[in-house]
Amino acid sequence: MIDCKKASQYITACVDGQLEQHLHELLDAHVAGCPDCEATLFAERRLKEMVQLHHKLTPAPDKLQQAIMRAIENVALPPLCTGAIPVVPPRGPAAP
Amino acid sequence: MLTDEKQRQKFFRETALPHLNAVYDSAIRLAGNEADAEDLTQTTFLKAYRFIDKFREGTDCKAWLLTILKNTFINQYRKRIRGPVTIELDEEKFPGVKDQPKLVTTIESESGETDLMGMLDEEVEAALGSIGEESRKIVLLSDVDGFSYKEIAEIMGCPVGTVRSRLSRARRALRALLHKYAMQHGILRK
Repeated sequence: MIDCKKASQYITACVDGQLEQHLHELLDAHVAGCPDCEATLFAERRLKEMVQLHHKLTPAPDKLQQAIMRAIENVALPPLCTGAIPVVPPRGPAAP
Repeated sequence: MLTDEKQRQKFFRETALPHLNAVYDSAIRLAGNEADAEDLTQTTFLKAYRFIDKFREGTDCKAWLLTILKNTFINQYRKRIRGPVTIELDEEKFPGVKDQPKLVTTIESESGETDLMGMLDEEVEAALGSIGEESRKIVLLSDVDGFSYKEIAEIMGCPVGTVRSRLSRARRALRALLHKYAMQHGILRK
């Protein structure tokens, strides 16, 4: 049997599906008899769902999609593992 | 098997390209700036096109693309662009971060169903923006991109245990911040 302190260490990994099976079983057993840890587990699950739901993707620039499509339509791809393929026109140094 | 080039292009356009924004969004997280993110995204999609025959239809194409993105980043970019790792979560900056707010359990929608989804995008983004860049990044790598702890450790160049503890602290901080918001807006009753 684990205590609340130990359970709190396992909750994040449990929510992420990253907790080893035997630890999962220990956590389940603890949570079944501990309303506080059950509430924390539930809250953390909902938080993850909320981040997934509310995070706004930064849209890719239009020119990027066009550059990719141009590149695949030309088919003559350069060899892999050579770093970025310079289809997007080169830009100045990145902003700090 | 896609034998014809036009067929390959059509399949790629219909299957992979719809995930461009998701890949670019993740690339910005990994690369840290738009120019590198564009290069990284483009390299990812061109590799995906080259290996499109390896993609099994019916499986998760976004996850496949994000794996290519991650590998490309680790192999070609990380050493060049990775900056110092900072952790900004502490009790002084984030009061209540060490507490365990029971945020969601006391939130109820009108139907009586426990629901936290009434939060606004802006509030969640603001909360994510308040916990420090490294913490925000690790939460999004896990929650939005769906990377495993092992993959996040590879991306961030740190041990898996560090990913686990940082993620745990980041979520605690987020819960504290959103708890405050929920109290202010009457979403939380106590």
